[in-house]
Amino acid sequence: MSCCCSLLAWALLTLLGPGAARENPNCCGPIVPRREWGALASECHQSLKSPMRYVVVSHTVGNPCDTPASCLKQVQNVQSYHMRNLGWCDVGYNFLIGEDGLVYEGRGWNRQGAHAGSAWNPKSIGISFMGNYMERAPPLRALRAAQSLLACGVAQGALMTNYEVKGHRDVQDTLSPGDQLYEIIQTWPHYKD
Amino acid sequence: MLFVSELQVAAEEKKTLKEGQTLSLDCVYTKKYSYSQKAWQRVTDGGKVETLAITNRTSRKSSQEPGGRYFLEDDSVSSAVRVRMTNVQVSDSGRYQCVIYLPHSDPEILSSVHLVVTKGSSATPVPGKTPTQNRAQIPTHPPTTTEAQNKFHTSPRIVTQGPPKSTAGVSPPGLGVNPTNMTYITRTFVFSIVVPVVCGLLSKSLVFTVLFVVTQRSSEP
Repeated sequence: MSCCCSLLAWALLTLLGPGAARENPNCCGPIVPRREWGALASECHQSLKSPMRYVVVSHTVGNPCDTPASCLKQVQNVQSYHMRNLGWCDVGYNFLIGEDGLVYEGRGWNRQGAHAGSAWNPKSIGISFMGNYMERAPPLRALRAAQSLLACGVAQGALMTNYEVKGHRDVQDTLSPGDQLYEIIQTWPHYKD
Repeated sequence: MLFVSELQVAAEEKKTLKEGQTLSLDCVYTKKYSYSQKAWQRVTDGGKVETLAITNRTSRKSSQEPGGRYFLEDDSVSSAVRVRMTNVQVSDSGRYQCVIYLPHSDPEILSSVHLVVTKGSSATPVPGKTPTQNRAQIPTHPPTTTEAQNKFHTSPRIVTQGPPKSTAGVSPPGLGVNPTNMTYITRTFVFSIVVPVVCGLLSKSLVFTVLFVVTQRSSEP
């Protein structure tokens, strides 16, 4: 009798499983959601189509951070600068990467970012590494977090399976994402100049 | 897998316009092509390519003959080619592509567009815009198409807003709803609303039935 019950329970889980996975973003690798890092409410309304073809990698040129506590503060700083000083509707990037190895949710997969100019913004997801990577490279855990984020995007249908990675300097006149980080992303399988 | 990725390249973007409207789009490119010539081409069903406009090296714009309908402007600061095709006609329907015009090799395709031009004059902007859609350039798109694309909104609001708008007064009076638009709306409605709801109901009733049977069996002495 108990064996029959456990079989039925297993069958139920199989039915409910796929639904749960789709609703639960955690099966994708951790992303620190806006609420958790204390984000100010977004005032942006421009949505992004999906799936997206392009990902633009930049750096913030701000302070790096290597603990969850300090990175939480740093993301707030970036958002504050973008909204209060630059007058934007939200932090400019779709996602931010900390040297703590965590991904921070910015505008996310659905909202157009402000990171690569008027032509590229509607056509790309902008991810930014928090720090200045002209003369030093981000730690491996930060690079892993970024790769995991992009794989997650493909799994969720937010990025095309054949998405292309571009450096910020490939699409705008800038040093971003910094010489060291730019050299690294050029080795990524999805990079195309 | 190859078939899927080909689809993703070939069916890049679809634009639907009414006769007389202007097609406006941006083709983005990377800095390595800043000084290359860009071209706007039409691709026939047979695969033949016809170049309609090409940017001039110095002016960065396509040359304009009188009565010309194709305008290209190479905005190298934004790293994009702005394409405009004015006064579109039904005969303009088809596939187009934005390319880097390379001297000694096949052109590099930046993006391709499937243009559909429908008969009838251009309409006044559609009322009842949703908050997520504040692009005034595309008034003929019913709100449901944008909603259907936003699969990641967790708010149930979006789902319930869609269908009523599509059938109740989206098109201004005096403008007949195009039959192809109606089937598209119906199809979007069916696939994005009805099917998930029915599947949800079916799976939930199955679960409850099984749970009921289990509790009945276990309560037997």
